Amino acid sequence: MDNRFIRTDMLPPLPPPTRESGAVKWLRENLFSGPMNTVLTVLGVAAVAWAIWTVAPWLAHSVWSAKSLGECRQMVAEMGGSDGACWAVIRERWHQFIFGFYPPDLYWRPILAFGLLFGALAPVLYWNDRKGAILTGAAGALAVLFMAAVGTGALPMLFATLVLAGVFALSWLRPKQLLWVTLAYPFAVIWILWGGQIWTPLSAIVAVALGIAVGLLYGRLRTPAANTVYAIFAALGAAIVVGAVIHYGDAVTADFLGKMSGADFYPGFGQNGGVIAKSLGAVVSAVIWAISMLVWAIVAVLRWVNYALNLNLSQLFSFPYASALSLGAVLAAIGTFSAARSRAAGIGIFGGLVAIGAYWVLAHPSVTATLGRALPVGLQPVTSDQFGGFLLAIVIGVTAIACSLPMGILLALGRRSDMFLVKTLSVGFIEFIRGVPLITLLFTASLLLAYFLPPGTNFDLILRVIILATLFSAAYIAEVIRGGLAALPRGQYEAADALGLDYWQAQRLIIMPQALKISIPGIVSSFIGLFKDTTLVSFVGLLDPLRGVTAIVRADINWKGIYWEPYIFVGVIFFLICFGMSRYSMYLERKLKTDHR
Amino acid sequence: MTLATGSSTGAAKEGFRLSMLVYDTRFRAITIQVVVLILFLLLVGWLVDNTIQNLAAKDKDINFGFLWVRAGYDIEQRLIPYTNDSTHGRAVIVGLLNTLVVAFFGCIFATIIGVLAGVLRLSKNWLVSGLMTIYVEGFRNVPLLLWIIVIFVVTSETQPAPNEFKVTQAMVDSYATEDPADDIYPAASKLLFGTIALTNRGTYIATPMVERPLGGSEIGGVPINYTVLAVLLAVIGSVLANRALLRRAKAVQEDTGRRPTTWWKSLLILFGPIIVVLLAVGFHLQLPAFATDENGVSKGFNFQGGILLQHSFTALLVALSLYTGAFIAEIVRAGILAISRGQTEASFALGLRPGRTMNLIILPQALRVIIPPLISQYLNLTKNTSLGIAVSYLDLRGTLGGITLNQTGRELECMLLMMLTYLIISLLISALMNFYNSSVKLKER
Amino acid sequence: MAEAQKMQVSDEIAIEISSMNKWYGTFHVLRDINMTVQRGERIVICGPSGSGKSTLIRCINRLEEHQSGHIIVDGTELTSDLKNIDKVRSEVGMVFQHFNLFPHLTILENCTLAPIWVRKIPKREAEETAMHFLQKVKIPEQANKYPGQLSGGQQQRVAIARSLCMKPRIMLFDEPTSALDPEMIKEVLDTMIELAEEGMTMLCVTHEMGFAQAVANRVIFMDQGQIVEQNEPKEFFNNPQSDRTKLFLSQILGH
Repeated sequence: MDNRFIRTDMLPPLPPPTRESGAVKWLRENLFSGPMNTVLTVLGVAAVAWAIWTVAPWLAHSVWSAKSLGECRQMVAEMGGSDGACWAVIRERWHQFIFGFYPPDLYWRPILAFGLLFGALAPVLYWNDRKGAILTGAAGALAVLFMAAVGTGALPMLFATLVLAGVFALSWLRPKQLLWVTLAYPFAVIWILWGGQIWTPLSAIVAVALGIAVGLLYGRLRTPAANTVYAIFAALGAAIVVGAVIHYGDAVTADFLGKMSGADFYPGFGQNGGVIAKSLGAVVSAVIWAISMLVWAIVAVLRWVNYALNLNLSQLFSFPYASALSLGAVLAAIGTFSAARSRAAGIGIFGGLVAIGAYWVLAHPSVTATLGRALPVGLQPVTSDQFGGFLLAIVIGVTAIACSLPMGILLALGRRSDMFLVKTLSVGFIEFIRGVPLITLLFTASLLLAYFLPPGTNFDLILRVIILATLFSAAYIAEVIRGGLAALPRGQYEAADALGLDYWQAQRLIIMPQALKISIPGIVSSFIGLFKDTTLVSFVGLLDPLRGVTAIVRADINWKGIYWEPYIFVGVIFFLICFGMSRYSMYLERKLKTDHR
Repeated sequence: MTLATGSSTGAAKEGFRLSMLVYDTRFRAITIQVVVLILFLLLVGWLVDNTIQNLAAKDKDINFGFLWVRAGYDIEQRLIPYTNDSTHGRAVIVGLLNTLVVAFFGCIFATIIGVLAGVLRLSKNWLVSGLMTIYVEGFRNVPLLLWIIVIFVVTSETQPAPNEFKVTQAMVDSYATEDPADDIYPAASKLLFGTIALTNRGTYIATPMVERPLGGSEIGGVPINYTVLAVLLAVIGSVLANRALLRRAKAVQEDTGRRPTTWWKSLLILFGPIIVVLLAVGFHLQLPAFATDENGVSKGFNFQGGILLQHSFTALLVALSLYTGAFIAEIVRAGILAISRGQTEASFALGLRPGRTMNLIILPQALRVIIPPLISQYLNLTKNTSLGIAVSYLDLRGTLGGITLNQTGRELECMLLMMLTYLIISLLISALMNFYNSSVKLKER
Repeated sequence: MAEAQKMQVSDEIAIEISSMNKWYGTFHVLRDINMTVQRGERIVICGPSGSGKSTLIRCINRLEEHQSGHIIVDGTELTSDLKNIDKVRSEVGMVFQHFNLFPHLTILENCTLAPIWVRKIPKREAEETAMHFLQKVKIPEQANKYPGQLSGGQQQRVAIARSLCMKPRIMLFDEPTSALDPEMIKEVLDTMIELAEEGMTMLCVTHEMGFAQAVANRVIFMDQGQIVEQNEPKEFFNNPQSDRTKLFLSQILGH
């Protein structure tokens, strides 16, 4: 048999054979493909039918405008329903759910801040294209519409529209320059929300800009003379910082040792209990005593080191500021100087920080005071207790996530570090925060922070809550970023090393851009978690939308006894925000998976 | 580092220079860590120093003695004997047990709900998978607090009062007549064959009772109930016996290649002994019901018998189970999807049937993916029990971090103790997870 | 082959390794390594898997730390001093088995990154250099694509160009062709041969014996962490001395 075969002409592609189709086939494949499936379908249909049966009449008899629950019920009865939804409560009180007790004529300010948020987020979320610009513009337009809807005055309206239009124009024409909006956003938003003199945020921006300029200048100036100048300033800065640390450490440790030897630290356990309680108490007391002694020993060593470094040079020389010139400060100055002269890394950053510190201490108060007197420009101040509702939830959520990102990056790097102490401290912090409920941390903010800070310190509750929420989400973000770092192949680190990049250069240019990109979905879902958790702030007395505002509404004599409507309203808003973000993060995940790969 | 290696890398020959603290890889790490240590100690010292000063200013000290002082408040739900004459320490333990009991049952229910929903979401049935998607997304994207509050408010404001379950003389009279049309029934009725009664005071459920208890004793203040012990022993014994049976079946299969039928033996071994034990002690349920006179007319104002579950407990448990269940459903779904198609195909290609493929190939791998996030969900659930504050559930936070804290004014001690307790629970669960992870880790190069 | 012998080898010493040892934990991976590389020399290192050949060249730019002995590269001894390490790394280029291109940067950015940040060269100049070397490895048209859009062979040539952009005096190749499909190996080897003909000092861990015969002026055979045999390629292949070498060559050339 001849099994040779040579194809002379290639076969053209043919359409597939037609299959059975239509609704019947779809039903059979999707709903009734087997006995098990049929049962499930019947159960499902029953559940849906029951839900519709229960909810439909209630929804059908909705009342949209009434002054009280009684009026509502009356109108429902007139419509012929036994039970009906009373959405009038939302119509009456929606502004409290959204803004809390923020002054109604100032509603445009939170709306403006929210509209600007998208422009500020664009560079972070890789929206450097027309699509991002359109999103930014759409958010801005929506914000303007809302402002018009809540009845904003002409002047603020003009101002806000101009600002939003400016950001949109920037995102359309120069998307790369949007980074400036991102950098200025925190200062701007604090000023817009809380109001006050404009000079404070401007002065803060000047301080940061000064620091960045000093740092960048160092990178540009490569002459030995400039290097020496920077080295001298860095050494001076190091001397001042170390001098201050030594003096302060000396004071604290001396005080601490005194208190430790004086105060009765380990009483209490089991002293009033039975035999078991007493013996258990004795063991616990012994453990606490041992830990105290360990701390005491470390503090004593620290004090001794402080003492050794604090040998005051003023005995040798007499000139002003000699008292700040301790041995440690001199050593730090020499070390920094010799380091700064030969190598660039870090000195620019340090110089920038010194510049910021110097400006903040020396110039900031007088600058703001002078300008404030000469040219009082500002917004009407709003106090923190007027914040509430979703405004509060968004302020806490966004600030905490934004602040926790750098901290989370540092913690993740610390946890992956080879250095034992750095690693232990990072792991300890992360595991502690992740091991206790958020609610205990919020109670710490409201009850204990006053103990941990110097006597007489007392600041805004929202700020305290934001600090603790930042620490909380930093621990979770650190774990997300650690996952991103672990997903990077070792080869990336090796290639960066082989090219001669140093640790921070490699992190900044090679590792972090990739790790953060991988982590974006995780970061978004921690944000969703944190945003949902902002409802817990009601337990420390803030007006969250869910419990705080709803409780106020339900306590009103007109609306007493209402429960479904406010909870459904709040729940739906939460759902829309969280679901939207989670879908967005899934979209990003898919996009990043195919990106460049 | 040994002397030999130190000298041979050449650096030691140059002698020590100050800049080596920064530029020498051997000293650099030490320098950084010393700086970090000093800064850390300063921070700790600063915090402790502030605390001491603040305490002194308020004329307070750190003293845990309050734990042995009379608490003076009532806790409705208690698993160990407690009255308002008991100490704060005992109140704390009652609270801790309340936390643990919600966490325990919550984990069980959440797992059941989550596994069901996760598997159903993968079903080809369009309607069922759609419903499950609505459930999962609905619960995941709305704050847990909202579910707790809604369930609590709805149960406590919409359920009937206990006396609406009462049978009155008029009702009894109406039953006496032949005509069923004029029968009057109580305004509310119990569910599930009379075992559950939902009222505005709480949920009454049937109490498990035994007619012939085996007695009990007490060891070191801990009561031991022989009946419970016997039931536990029967359960453990049957599980062990069943494992032995399966092992035998496996051994037979390995020897002869044929696996003996085991399913009916398993059923018998698993359920036989426990049924026998329950019958022997005369197990029955005591239904929540009103005391009645000879005509069947209810007396009194409340149910006799039955266990009263507080609404706070029910709301917390239901909300936690449904909320965490939604997360677990996602984990289960992702775990099953994570097993590559290739594994299924390889298994089919080897001729294994779908059931065997699931048991031998997919599940062992999927569990490896599912268990770690599952345990971290258990961890979240346990921490989230602290949200019981919203419905005044007296758990650890409600007693130690709530009433005890407010009564004694010892914020520092109470908060520290509470955080420490939560931390220990979390670390125990994490330790469990790490233990599991290391025991199932894939052996890879 | 005759061409290869013509290439210049100067007397200047590029790398000197003397009695160097390295352990992974208790495992002695490199045992008493002594070797000298002249400037312009092209050395091929071969040996069975796990013989320590990759570790050896990774020690030369301190991706791995040696525990005793000396490594002097271009007159700079590799110690724990960071400045020396940085200096050596900027003089020594390395090409990896899995390319290790940075996937978030374009080809051009991959090539200009290190010159800009390490050598502090102005961006425009760095881009000109990068385009020059991309032309040399024959893929200038891909400059604005991302690594993931290129084939394995193209990626490896980019990796070579990326190293060359630092104007290194020594190039290390760590099994540059072993992750590539057969038809791509040739394009990478051609690039490497071209580089060799220009007189670059090269150390190459590879199993491509054809490449060794074409360009190497010395072949080093390693086994169990030590240098077992080194010789000119002709001698090495035709007249191996040690039994281990014979066994290895029979396995690798046997089919």
